[in-house]
Amino acid sequence: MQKIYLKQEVSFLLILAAIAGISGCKESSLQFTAITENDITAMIDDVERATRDKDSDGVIKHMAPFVIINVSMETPAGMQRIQMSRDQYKELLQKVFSKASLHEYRYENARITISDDRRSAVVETDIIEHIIMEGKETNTTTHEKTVVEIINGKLLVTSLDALVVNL
Amino acid sequence: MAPMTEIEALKVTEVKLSKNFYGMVLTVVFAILLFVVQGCSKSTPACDNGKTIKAVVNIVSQDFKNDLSEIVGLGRPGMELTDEEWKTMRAGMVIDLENIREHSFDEAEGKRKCAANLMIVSGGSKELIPVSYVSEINKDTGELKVALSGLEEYKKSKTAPVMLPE
Repeated sequence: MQKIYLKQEVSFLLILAAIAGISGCKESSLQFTAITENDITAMIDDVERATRDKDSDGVIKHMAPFVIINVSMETPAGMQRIQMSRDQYKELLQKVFSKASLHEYRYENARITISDDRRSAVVETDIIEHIIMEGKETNTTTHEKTVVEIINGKLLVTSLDALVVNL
Repeated sequence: MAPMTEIEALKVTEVKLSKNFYGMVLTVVFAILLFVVQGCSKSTPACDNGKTIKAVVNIVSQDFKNDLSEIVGLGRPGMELTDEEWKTMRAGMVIDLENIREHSFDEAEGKRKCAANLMIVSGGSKELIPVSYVSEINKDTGELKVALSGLEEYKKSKTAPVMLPE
């Protein structure tokens, strides 16, 4: 009888030890997926395609829900910076897409820097746009600095800094 | 009292051995449990751990205090921002971290690489700044060390002149 109780006790403690081992140190057993330059290039190309197709969802899908978007531009009143959420950015895109009779978009000088742990990357590009909106023609060059991270196994933009350098 | 038969003697020995064996197993299990608990408690806290967040917020708060001190004191001795003045200013300010992510954990070094959105609410306006930080435990003192990046870059970009791309 005593033997059975001891057996049960030992089994219980072994289970407890296993649970403690698993739950106590679970952070160290995370599985990571690495970012490659090809993944980033594919993403930039997809954003370019979506912009040309006036597909705001196609652009937004690459952004994390908590992305921080900063758009800065020089105005007669000095440098102005607007901070936007993903939803606000989508609204702005939809407005431009619906009102623009012509929207030419291309990127140049893409520079991709992947972190040592390959969990994030900084992407710098120059976006050249030619927009005709309500009869008004605009040519802009925007220097964009984007941070891309792996979030729940997905490649998503977590911050976007756009500096409109040429209006 | 009648002497024990050979079978009875064997049974007694078996019970004694079993007790010894299970006693040893119990000791080993407890040792494993202690090792696991102690080993994990000394590891670097998670990116969203209260201690880590507090350390990041303290760095930001100290940085703001230094910036303000420079403005208020204009570099003149005796004109620096006092702790009381800073406490009053800081009381109306919210500094916190949102959307904390862990990028990696180097088990050998005990270093965690994290990213988050730094939220600053002051004077009715809310600002979000993307930051990253590395946290580690000093093996000798057990003290938590946090190195923050992104704040300086953000401050520079706020005042950077407009430059044409190369």
